[in-house]
Amino acid sequence: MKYLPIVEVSDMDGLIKFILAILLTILPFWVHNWISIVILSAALVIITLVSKIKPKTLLISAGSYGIIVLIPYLFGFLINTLVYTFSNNMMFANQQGFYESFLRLYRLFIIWYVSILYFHTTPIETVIGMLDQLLTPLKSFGVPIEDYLKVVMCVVIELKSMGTEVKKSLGDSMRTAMGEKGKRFKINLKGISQIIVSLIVDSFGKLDKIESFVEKVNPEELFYYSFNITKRDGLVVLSFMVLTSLVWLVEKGHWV
Amino acid sequence: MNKNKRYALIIILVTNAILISFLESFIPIPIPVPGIKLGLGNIITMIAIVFLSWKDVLFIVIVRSFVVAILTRGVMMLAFSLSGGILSAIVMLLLYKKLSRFLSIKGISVAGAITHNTTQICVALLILGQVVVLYYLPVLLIAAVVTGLITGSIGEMAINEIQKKEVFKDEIPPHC
Repeated sequence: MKYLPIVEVSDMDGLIKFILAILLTILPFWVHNWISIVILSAALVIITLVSKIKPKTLLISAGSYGIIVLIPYLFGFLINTLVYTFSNNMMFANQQGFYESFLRLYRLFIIWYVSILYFHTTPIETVIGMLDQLLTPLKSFGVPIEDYLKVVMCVVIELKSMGTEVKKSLGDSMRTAMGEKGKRFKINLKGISQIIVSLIVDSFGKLDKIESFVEKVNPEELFYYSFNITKRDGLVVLSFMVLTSLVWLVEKGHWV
Repeated sequence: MNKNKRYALIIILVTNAILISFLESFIPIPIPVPGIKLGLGNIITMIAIVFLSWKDVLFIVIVRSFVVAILTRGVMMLAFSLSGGILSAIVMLLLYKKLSRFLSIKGISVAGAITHNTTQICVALLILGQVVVLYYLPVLLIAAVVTGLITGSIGEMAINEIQKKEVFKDEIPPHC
């Protein structure tokens, strides 16, 4: 296991960003006007552009949201509409209305999206460092929070140290195991199990190394957070206040 | 086993679980239904159930869900993976400890997959507040049987291989 890159300097204070992220996820629950939704969406686009997050990263994360939330909902909605159309049974009528359903999905989307933006723009050392301070009360009850967070950080370091080479070699082994089309699936299952076993067996060779790393490393070397406010933080807070004011004006009918 | 060795073991297993999940894209699922995943990472949960204590099993599931949520999926997905992961691990643990004479690893894996998918749809129901998501449950349950059988078969072979190679011999004696 490679020695650590210590805590990176974040462009914004982690706690301020965290509070703003929470407020940004709450904001959509307060909006009903479509103009507010447009403003909020535009703000998110600007945040994404400023944060310089790779579209690929967002797409991968969007896949999970689509698979777990959207697909079951849209499938259920389709079946319900079909049953209602053919049976005219009021039990299957859409009680909530399209706009309300859209609003609910939009709000969930914002929770997911803001959390993705937060985690992809905040160094993991800062996130874990904040979590360590947040969970301090549990330490007085004897819960080894620092040890648990150390384990989390070590997993992240292990994953990063493996890099793309391990993934590539695993992928090659899988392609070989899957073989040509038409091969029996059972044979492939055996091949996959062998890959998994060899992965586990090989990784156990590093057990002593990881153990000594866990023993020697201080939590401060793995994760750290201290409150540090900058001009940039002030500017972002100000921008958020402008956004909230705009949404408030629209919602109260003062602007549009 | 000392504390640090235990942590090292858990770090290795969680890292492997995340890496194994990556292999899923190479395996064609017999029933190509949107939203269905094989859940190969659960093989590590099964291995942990056979060779480690229940505390370690739950710790592995929690750390894995947490790391994946932070690195890729976001905090909302944590609710789904954590609830599904913990409940399915508990069900598999109980079945392995109490009914392993009647149920094979494949059967236990199917039960785990059914629990996982049912929990996820229940969390979706709670979050969305829309009963219509329950229409997807039968689809997920059928898929759970198929994917549970596949991961269970691979898991069974992996467990047998690990027992043959005595990988955990120096760490923890198997419970059964």
